[in-house]
Formats: sequence, C-alpha cells, structure tokens
Amino acid sequence: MADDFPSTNSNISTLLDRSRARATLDQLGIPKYRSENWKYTNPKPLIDSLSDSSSAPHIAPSSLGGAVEILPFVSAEAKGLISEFVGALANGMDTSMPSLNLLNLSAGYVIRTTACGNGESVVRIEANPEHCERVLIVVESGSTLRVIESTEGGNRVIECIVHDGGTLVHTRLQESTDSLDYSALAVQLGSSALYQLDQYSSGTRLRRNDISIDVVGEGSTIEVKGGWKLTGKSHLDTQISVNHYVPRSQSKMKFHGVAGDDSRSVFNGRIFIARDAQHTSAHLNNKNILTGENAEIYTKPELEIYADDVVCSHGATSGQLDEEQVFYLRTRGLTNQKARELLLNGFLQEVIEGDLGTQILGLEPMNLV
Amino acid sequence: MSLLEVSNLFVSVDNRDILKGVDLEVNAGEVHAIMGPNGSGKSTLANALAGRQGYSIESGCIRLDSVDVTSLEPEERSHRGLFMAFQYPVEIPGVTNIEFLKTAVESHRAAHGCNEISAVEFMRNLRSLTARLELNPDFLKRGVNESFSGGEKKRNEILQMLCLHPRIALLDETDSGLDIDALQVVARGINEFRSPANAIVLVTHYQRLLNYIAPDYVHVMMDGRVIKSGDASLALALEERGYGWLEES
Repeated sequence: MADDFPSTNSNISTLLDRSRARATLDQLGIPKYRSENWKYTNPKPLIDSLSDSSSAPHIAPSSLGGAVEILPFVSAEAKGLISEFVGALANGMDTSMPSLNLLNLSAGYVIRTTACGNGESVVRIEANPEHCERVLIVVESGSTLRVIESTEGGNRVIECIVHDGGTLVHTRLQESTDSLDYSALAVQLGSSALYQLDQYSSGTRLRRNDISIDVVGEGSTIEVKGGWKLTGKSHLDTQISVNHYVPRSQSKMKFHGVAGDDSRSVFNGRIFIARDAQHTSAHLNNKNILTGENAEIYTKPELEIYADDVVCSHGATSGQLDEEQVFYLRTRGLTNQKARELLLNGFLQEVIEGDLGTQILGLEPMNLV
Repeated sequence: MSLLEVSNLFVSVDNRDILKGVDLEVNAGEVHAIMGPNGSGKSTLANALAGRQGYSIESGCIRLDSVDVTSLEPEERSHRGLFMAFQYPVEIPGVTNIEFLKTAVESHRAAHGCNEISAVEFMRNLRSLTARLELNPDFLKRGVNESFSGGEKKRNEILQMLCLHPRIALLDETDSGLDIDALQVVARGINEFRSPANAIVLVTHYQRLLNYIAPDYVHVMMDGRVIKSGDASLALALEERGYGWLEES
C-alpha cells in the first residue's frame, strides 16, 4: 500500500529507515474520513498536500542561546540519533499521518541539549509553509530546553525525548489563517522529567494537531494548556492522548476554545493509565464557547484507567457567553461588543499566559501592578 | 432638580407583573433606603433601573437628570451616571480586576470625549482606593470576583463605584453576607462617596446598614409598590415591629 503512495526521492527521505513507516501504513492504512480518528475532519486535503513539493526555502531551527546543538538529518552526527529515535515515537500514535510524513520528508533536524545544569537553552522552530518536515528533540538528563515553535501550514512531526530530570518547555503558536496545517507531536518522558506545552491556534482552512505524550519514568509532570479562536469557515481538530505507564506521575491538561461564524472545532482528549501506573494524578478539561450561529463544536474527553489507586478527572463543556457576565460589564459602561470581547479574551487568557499571552492577547495590564 | 425620577413604573419578568406602579424621586445629596419583605420588588426595581434584559418595562418612565433613559442600554445609563452594585457580583475568571477597572474607566472617559487616562495616574488613584477599602493590592491581579470572599466581592463593588464616580448609586443589598468589620469598611466607602453632587439608593433588608449610613428617606415596598415613605425613624419602626403592621394599615 505504501508504495502506491507518492513519496519524494529527495536525499533525506532515502536516508531514513522507512520500514517502520511502511509497516505502520500497512497496519493502519491511509487515514480516511469518517473513520474513528477522522470522524469530523476530512484528511484528504492534508494528504494531497504532501505531494506538493515546495519551492520555498526551508528555514532551519535556530538557537537563541544556551548549550544546544541543531543538526540537519543529512549530517553524519545526526545519524545515530535518527536511527534510534526518528519514527519510534510518532509511529506509535494511532494515526498513520506521521508515517506519511516520514515517507515524504523535505527537511529534518535534530535539536539536542549538550550540557546539563547550565541554565536554560532556547530554540526557535520557524514556520515552514508547504514543507513536510520532521524534528527530533532530545533533552538530555538534567537539562532544560525552551522551544518556541510557529506553524503556518505544512506538515510537521516533532518527536521529543526528555531524559530523566530534563525539562522541555514548549510554546507553540499556530497563527496562519488560510492554510492546510498538519502537526503531530510525540513526547516521551523519563523519570522526574517535566514537559510543558502552551499552544495557541487561530482558525485556518484546515488544521489538525495530533499529540501523544508517554510517561515512561516515575515522578514526571505534564502541563498542557491550549487555546483557540476560530472564525470564518476555519476548521481545527485537536487530538491529544496522555499515557501514564509508570507510577507517581501527574498530568494536567486544560483547553479553551472559541468557535465563531461558520467554524468547526473538534477536540478529543484521552488519559490512559496502565495497570502499573498507581498513584497517578491526571486531569483533563476542555471548555468551549460558541459565538457563531453556524459554528460547530465536537468535544470528547476520555479516561481509560487500569490502575485502582489514582486521582483522575475529565470534563468538557460547550455553551455560549454568560449573559449575566455581559450585563455586569455593561452596567460598568462597556458596550455590548466590548463586554463580549473582554469576556472571550478572559476565557482564552485562562489558558494563554506568559510570553504567548503577551504576544496573542496583549496581557500588559498585569505589569501595571 | 431630581437626579433620579421614577414615575408610575410597571415592570414584568417572564410575563409576571412584579412592579405595579412605583414612584420615586431622588435629589442630589440625598440617601434613600428601600426596604421591604422578600419578593416585594426591591431588587426588580434596581435591575429595571440598570436596564437588565428580561425586565420588561410595561409602562412608566425612568429619568436621570431629567433625561428619559427608559429605553437606553445598560452602558448608556452607566455613562449617564447610574451605577448598580450587585447583590450577587458575578465572577469573571480570566479577566483581571485591574484590566476590568481600566476598561470600565476608559469606556466612561471615551463616552464623555475624554482622552485615555495615563497608566501612572490610573494606578495612583487605584492604589489609594484599594488602601481605603483595606484591600490587598494583589486583589487587583486576580480574576474579577474570582474566589473572592463575600466581603471582598462587596468591597469590589464599592471600589468600582469609587472609580466610576456615578451621579446616582443603587446599592442592592450591599450589606448582605458581610461581617461587622467588612460592613464598617463598606459603609465608610459609601460615606466617602456621599456628596451634595450625587445620591445613593440603598436596597436593604436590615436596619443595621442604616446605623452606619444615615438615610434621608426610607421607603417601604410591598407587592410591587412603595406603600409608605418616611424618614430614618421608619426603618427603626420596621426593625421593631416588622412589616405586618403596614400590611394591616
């Protein structure tokens, strides 16, 4: 089946061991609309766009400081890491899109911290529209890496290995408004490691985010926050799965979405807790506000628990703005429109803080205090 | 000239007649207390004056400074100097108190053709007000009323009132849920606001608030009407005798 599918003959894709990707494709098949994972999103435009070879120059990730190396996949130094890790994590996701990415790759990079305990390293991953790219991030034991990522269309798979005691702080900004955008993110955490993701997505023609986080070391922490504001006919599909395989780890996921106009918002969040993962604390919440008469929201939180001594919660809500809140603000002099803007901003502000908040929502007033 | 004039106001909520011909005239410099048993229409009057959706004005008129505001939007009434302190202030997670206050102040300034206030001047005023209301400055960084105690919520209402400088303040059961210390702080804030240029309408169940804020007039509402008006001694009589004797008379 895989051979029927278009793949580039670039140096980079032939350098990689494609057997794992082919095996996954054989097992899962090419993603199809209305199948379990693609119930509300048609993957065809995303798959078709893979065969569009890009003439745009590819922008490599850049270091903004700290002890970190960035290696192109074609470099000799990257070879060992690629054969060990690339495809190993993302191919474990229950969609074959990452495999299609591997078979159509136009660019790939390894980002690896090179020293521990020497403060934070910072890397920027630029938007590369129309490219099919892959990034392997390796955070060595005890080191801290901050990744600032932008996407504006294209197909990108990021695989992250956070070794024992490592910290990966990932800020992801998806701002394009007229693009086809596929992103897969697969993270594996060792012992006492931390992974933090802050993600903001604007509405665009079609955007799909597949996220899978595996906890394989005890005492690790995951904090994920995501926000989106969809307008026009935009379509966003977010699928996230956090898998706790070992005891004493914790995860918190919080997503707030606004669906306006004729947009469609799809969210599926899953917490999996294996039989051995006792004393896990895992929480997932997705709140949505519908502002468009023709907008659609599909949300499904899932818990799959095989251990008996855990603390877990999950929840999802969809509704409209609270008219009591709107009235309260209007009695203070805000116009109906301004009151609604402020409330929607506040709703997103609950999940978009820090640098991302400053950039997206202009959270300057706090600095006045 | 009266600041607030309510003439023969009939209001229905969900097709139920609640106010059945309320008359009220409030002049600059005056404090009016509106008392009455549960369900008499006190809060309905406050909400109808503020322009809450769903409170249908069937007939009658509301004038602020002689201008008919009966059909104006809530924000237009606010810009004209009407302020309502809520009985149950709404929690707004995600919107910080400071962001909210700044937006509210700017909305008023814009409505009156004023330039934006400088951040420094705004903060100077705000710090002074929070200190007077014995509020921790961290209070400004928190979400509006989010996880505030009952006392903090009511003090936040008074803080908003002091920031917006209304001509007429409607305080809907501002004393409910307050302990004695918080009641005194809130009452002090209201008394500081009180001036010959503005007026206050207190909606309350109890005489105890009036121990701290002396009213010029006390009105008793029952079954959607003001059935008796008097001076501060009327509140004392109600405290002593309840509402039954008024019903009988």
